[in-house]
Amino acid sequence: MSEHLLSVDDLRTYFPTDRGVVRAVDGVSFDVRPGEVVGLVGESGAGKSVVARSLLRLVDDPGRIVGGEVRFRDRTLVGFDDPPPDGPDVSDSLPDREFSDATLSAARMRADVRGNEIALVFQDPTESLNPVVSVGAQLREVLETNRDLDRAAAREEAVAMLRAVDIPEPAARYDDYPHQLSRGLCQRVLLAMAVGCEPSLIVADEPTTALDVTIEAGILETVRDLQARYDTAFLWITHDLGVVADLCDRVAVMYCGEVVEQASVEDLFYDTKHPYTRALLDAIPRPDRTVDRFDVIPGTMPEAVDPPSGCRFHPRCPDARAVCTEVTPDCRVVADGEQPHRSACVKHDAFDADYEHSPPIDVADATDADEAGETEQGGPDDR
Amino acid sequence: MAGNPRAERAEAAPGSDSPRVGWRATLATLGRDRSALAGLVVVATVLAVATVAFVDAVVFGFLGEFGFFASLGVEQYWLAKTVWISPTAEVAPELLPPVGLENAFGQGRLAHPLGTDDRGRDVLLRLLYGSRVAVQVALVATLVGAVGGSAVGAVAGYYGGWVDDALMRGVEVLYAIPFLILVLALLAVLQARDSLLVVTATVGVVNVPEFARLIRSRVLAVREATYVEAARAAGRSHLGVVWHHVVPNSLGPVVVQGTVRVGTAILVIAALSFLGFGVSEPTPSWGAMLATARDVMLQNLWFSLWPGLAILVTVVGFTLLGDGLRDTLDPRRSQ
Repeated sequence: MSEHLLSVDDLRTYFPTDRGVVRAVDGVSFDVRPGEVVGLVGESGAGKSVVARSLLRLVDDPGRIVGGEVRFRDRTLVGFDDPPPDGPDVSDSLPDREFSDATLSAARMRADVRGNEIALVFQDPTESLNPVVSVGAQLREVLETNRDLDRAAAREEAVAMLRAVDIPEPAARYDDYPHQLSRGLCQRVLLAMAVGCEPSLIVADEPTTALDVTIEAGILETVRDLQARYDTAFLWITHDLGVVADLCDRVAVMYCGEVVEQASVEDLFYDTKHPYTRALLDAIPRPDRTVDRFDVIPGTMPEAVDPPSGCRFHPRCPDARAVCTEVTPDCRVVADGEQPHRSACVKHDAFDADYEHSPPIDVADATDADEAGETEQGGPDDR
Repeated sequence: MAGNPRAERAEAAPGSDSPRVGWRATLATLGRDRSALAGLVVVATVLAVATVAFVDAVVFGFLGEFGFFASLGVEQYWLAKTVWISPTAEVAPELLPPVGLENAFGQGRLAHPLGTDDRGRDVLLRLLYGSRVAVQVALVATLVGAVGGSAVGAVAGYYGGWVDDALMRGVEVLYAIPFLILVLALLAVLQARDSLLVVTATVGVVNVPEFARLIRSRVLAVREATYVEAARAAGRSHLGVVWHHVVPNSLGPVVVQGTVRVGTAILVIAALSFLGFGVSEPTPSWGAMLATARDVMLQNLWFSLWPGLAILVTVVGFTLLGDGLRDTLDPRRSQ
C-alpha cells in the first residue's frame, strides 16, 4: 500500500436533487503510483470530473462526499469513522456525515495539498484563466502561493515555466492577457501553473478535449516531456481512448459512477475483461475497416438517481444474463499479470455467480444493434 | 515539436497585434464616441477647477495654521486673493447683472462677468469655488458607496446562503427608503447639519445598497467561472479568490455605475446644501447659491441661472462619460 502515491478506496460522492440522490461517484477505487500516468476513462456523465474534484474536496454544493477514503502519501484527504451508508438508505436525503479526525482540515488541505501536492488542470483552457489578469501575473501568483518565492523570483520562475511548456517568446507572452492567446497556448499556461508548483500528482480533467487534434498532439508531447523531467504522476481524465493508449501506463474505466475495469494499457486494449470497455473500443472508428455504421453502444447511460439493479451496465450489455440483474459485481482482480487486472463483470471466474448457467436476457434498448455486436465481439463464449 | 506552438501562435495572431486592454485602449475607444468625449471634457474641466479650488480653500487653509507657512503669507483663499479677490469677500454692489446688462442695482461690470450675489460677491468666483464642495463630496461619497457596497455585495454573492440573506436583506431595508429622506433622517439623528464630513459619509452609506446589489449580481455569475474553481484548486483561500479573481472581474459595471452616481451625488449635495445641510456661509456651494438666489429671484434672475447651469452641465457630463464607459467596458460590445 505504501508504494501508492494516491489511493482511493470506495469513494462516494452524492448530489441531492429534487428527483432524488444522484450517485455521481458510487464506490470508486483506484490508485496512482509515483511518476505514473493513470487514465480515467468513461462516457460523459460517468462521474470522472466529480472524482477529480472529490480528491481535492472541491465538490460544489449541494454535492457531498459521503463515504470512502482518499489517502495521499501518509495523509488522509477523505476519511470517515463509520462505514459508508448503503444504497437504499440514501434514496431521498443525504446523511450528514463528518470526516474522521485523521482527515486533513480544510485549511491544511488548502495550504498543504491543493496546488503544491495535487494540481488540477481543467477542460476549457480559456475559461480557466482570469480574463482581466495577464497570464504571467496569474502564473506568478500561483507560484507565490505554493512555493516560497518572493515576487521577483516568482516572476523569473514564471518565465522559466512558460519556456518549459514550449511557449515561444515566454518573456513577451508574460504580459499577454488570456484572450490574446490561442486555446492551445492557454492550456500550456495552465500546464505551467500546474507543473510550476512541483506537485507530485497532476489531475488533468479532459485537458485536451477542447482542442483540435494537431494542438492536442503538441500538448501531449509537452506533457510527456514534463512527465519525464519532473517525474510527476498524472491522473488523466478523458473519454478519448486514443489519448489513453498514447499517454497512460494504466487505465481505470468508469461507468455510471463506478470503476468497471482497471488494468495496464496493454491488458486493457488487448485483453479486455469488461463488456463495457469492449464496447467502447469497438465504437472507435478504424481507418483499416470500412463499415456501414459504427458500433455504437446501444442505449444511453442510465441516470445515477436510480441505477439499474445488479450490474449497472446490464441493460446495454451484449453479454447480459439473468444473474447480471441480481449480483452487483465489485471491481475485483480477474487476471494476474505485471499489473493486476481488475474487472467488475460476473462472467469471470473470480465471481462465483454461476454466470455460465444463467439464461441470457433480452436487452431492451439493444434490439437492432445487438446482433451486430454479438457477431463482431465474438460473444461471451470467447472468454 | 518546436514548430507546433508557433503555429498556434500564428492562429492566435489577430488579437495580439492590437491589444485591447488597459487604460489606453479604453480611452481610445472612448475617443470615438462623441458624447462620451464631451462628457470626458466636462468632467476633466470640472475636476481641474475643483482641484484648484480644493487646494486653495482646504489645503492652504490647513497650512495657514502653521507659523512657517503663515509667515509666507499662506492662508485660506491665498490663490484667489493673490490673483483676484476672495470668493467670500464682499467687494461690489449687490445683485449686479452679468457684464453688458443693466438692472435696478446698476450696470454689469467686466470685473464681475457673471454679476454679483446678494452680498456683492463675485458670482463667477463663487461658482468656480463651489465646484469644490460638489466634487469633493460626490467623489468621496461615491467612493465610500462603491467600496463598501462592493465589499458587501462580493461577500454576499460569493458565500451565498445565510451570509447572503443577512447582508442583502439589511441592504434592501436601506434601499427601500427614498434616498434624500434617508440622508436627511440620518443627518437629523447625527445632529450634524453643518459637518461636510458627516454629510459625505451619510451620502456614501446611502450609496451602498445600489453598489452592493450591482456587484452581487456580477459575482453570482463570476463565482461559477472555471478560473475561480481553478484558483481554489491551486490552493487559494476564499478571500484570496474573492480579492484576486472575483472582484476584478466584477468591477466593470461598478466603474460605470460609479461615474453615473457621481452625477447623482452632485445633485444630492446641491439639494442638501439648498436645504441648508453640509456647508454654511460663507463657504461657496452650488446648492446654497441656488437657495440664496431663490430669495432674490425677482431682483436678479441671472443669479439663479448660473449655479443651476453648473449643476446641469456637470451632472450631464458625468452621465455621458458613464454611458460611454458602459459601452467601452461592456465585454459584449467590445468583442
